[in-house]
Amino acid sequence: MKKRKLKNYLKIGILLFGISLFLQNCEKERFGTFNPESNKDIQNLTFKEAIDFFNKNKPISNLLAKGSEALTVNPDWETISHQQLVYSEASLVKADTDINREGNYYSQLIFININGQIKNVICTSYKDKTDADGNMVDGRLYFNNIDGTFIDAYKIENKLFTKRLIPNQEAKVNQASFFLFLFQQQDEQFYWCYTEGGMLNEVEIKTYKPHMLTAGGNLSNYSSAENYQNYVNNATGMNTGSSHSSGLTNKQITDAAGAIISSPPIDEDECPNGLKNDFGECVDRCRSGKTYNETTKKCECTDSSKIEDWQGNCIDNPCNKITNLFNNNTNIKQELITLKGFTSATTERGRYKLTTASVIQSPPTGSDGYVDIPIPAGNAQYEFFAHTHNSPASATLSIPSFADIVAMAGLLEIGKIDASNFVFFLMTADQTNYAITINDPTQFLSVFKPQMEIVNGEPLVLYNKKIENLIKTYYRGKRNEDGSVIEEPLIKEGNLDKLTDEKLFLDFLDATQMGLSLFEVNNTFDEFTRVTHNKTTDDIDKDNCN
Amino acid sequence: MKNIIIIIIIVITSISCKAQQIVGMDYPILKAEDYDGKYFKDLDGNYDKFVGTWQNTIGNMTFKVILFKTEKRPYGDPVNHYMDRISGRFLMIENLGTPNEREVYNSMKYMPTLGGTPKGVISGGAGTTTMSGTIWDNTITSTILPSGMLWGEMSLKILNIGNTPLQARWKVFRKGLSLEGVEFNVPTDIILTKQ
Repeated sequence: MKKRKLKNYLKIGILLFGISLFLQNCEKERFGTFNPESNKDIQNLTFKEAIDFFNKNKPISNLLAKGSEALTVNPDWETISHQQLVYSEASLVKADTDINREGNYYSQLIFININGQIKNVICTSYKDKTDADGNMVDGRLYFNNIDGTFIDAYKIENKLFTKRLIPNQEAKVNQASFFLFLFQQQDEQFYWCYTEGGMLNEVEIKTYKPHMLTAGGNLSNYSSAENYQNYVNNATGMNTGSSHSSGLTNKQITDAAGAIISSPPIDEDECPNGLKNDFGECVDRCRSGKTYNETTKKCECTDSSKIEDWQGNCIDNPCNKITNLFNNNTNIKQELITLKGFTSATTERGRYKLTTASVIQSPPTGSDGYVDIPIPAGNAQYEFFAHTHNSPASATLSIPSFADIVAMAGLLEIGKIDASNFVFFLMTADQTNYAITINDPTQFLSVFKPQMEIVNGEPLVLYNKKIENLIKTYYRGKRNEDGSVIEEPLIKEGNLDKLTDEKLFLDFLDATQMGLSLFEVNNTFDEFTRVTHNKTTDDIDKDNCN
Repeated sequence: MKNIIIIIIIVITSISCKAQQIVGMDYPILKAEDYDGKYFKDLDGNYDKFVGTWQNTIGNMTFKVILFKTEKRPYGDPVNHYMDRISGRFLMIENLGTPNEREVYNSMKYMPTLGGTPKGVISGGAGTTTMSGTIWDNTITSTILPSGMLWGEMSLKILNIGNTPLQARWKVFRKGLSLEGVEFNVPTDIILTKQ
């Protein structure tokens, strides 16, 4: 009897475990954990640029199977249109195209401007199974160069990109041993998109990594949670909880295609050292100005005096801006020390210097206790602007407030900051001192450009979708005066853990891609240290300017 | 045993494979990833008392704030969570209800910099007594900002909860640096009455 009871408990236990596993998996699938930042190297291109590019590069001869009729790509320019990329503010250009091949397929020419170079591919979808509206439930998506050479292909099952189709090359199969080969399938139907060898192997795509996040082509800093399959399925919205009931529309398929073309999966072993796979081609792993370090497996600035900006470009070390400012203004150090003394006051105070003035001045403090930034007349610009976050420490931010950053952007927008030398200082009642430089003024301004978006049928004014979310996550959030939570932000006034706030602020700068650098400053204002949050170690990485 | 299994199967079937976890607005967030996969819903119905028209008349000038609920607003790019929000707009009317009635300003106007007419310039959430959020004042008189819009924070705190009509303190402010001379055009601290 006892034994039977035990058996029953065991059964229930296993069942409950199964249920929890099931529910967890369901959720994971629909909300992929891979969350790529917007592609930093993608720019818009015009219809004319796309058409000109195609006409200039269209194939003269066919490279498909010998003996067959030459491939002819005949775009219908009447259908040319833009479609915003899911992971970028930029748009791709697409146009339906006829191909002189038999079969039940739909082909589009897709153009994307990456790193100033136009990528132009034929994207062809075969619908093996559709819903009542003709949307794809099961199918295949092929990418070909405009001369017909095969680049890449994917299998879609139940509206999700599930497998990658790769050529069956024995040598490659042995080399790529980490692929889980599910089975080999002889295509019964003739797919013109891949004729060389006639056979494609289906492999799981989750082991591939996108190289979009690290602009220099670095392969490090990926967590196991990042998953190319989620990346592609998030692009269609099928991983994010929207419209699961119907099949993939052509727009959704193009969304996925855009995501794949702009950030193709890479196999680290496909190319020799120093090169990376760029959608079928082995190209330099590092962008201009960088050299691949075989030891660290990273692209590093060739000129050691330069640093990487948010895009991975090598730029002049922003430490130089601070050094130059102090070299040109001998009394600035004392003024900043004096200003720091005002952190014990109950209102904010400030100091600034204009390009047209020889002295350091004090801005007014408004009736609300916050500093007002005077708008200089004429061509005058700010060389630096410093202000305090006042006492009590229990009710102040140890890092810049969002309004501080908005004000800095406002000054830049109206031309009152020359970003090539401007330095922003903050000292707080929490005993923190920071300096900020603007490395990429165009990017900084783009973050703060308001836009209109239709949300549930209502046109709302927002910062862009990504920034709006990050502002809410990090800065917004309020409590009722009775203490009950309305929204809980990550950065909180009165948070006594200054290090956590600094990491959060760095995360915010990183996630919003503002193009700013943050520096810790000592109390005597003679040591400046550029800081970044190393998410792998969770440490603050420091680069001393002195 | 059979019955237990049947009950469990029924429960599983009824809840099916949930697309996201529905949580209250006060769900604790300790890190950015805590948002993932959740729908932050106004489970307590706190938003209802804020939704509607609020107004204040001083002299012949009437300031109106019209708030509406935006359910399940998507957040993130790509979307990784949803949240119920209160959105809204504002307008100032002179001589309301008289033949001389005139609209002094209205946030629902064509904005060339946006290429459209926004219906919502206020966005926020609410607890038991207070709504707080952000506001884009697109009626500012300063021409310094190229966008013609000033971003700030707002709050609407109900002063007489449980009474009719509800009265609330409307505040618009910036918590930090601001550009001198670029001021909000909307009233920044007044009492509004719910209509």
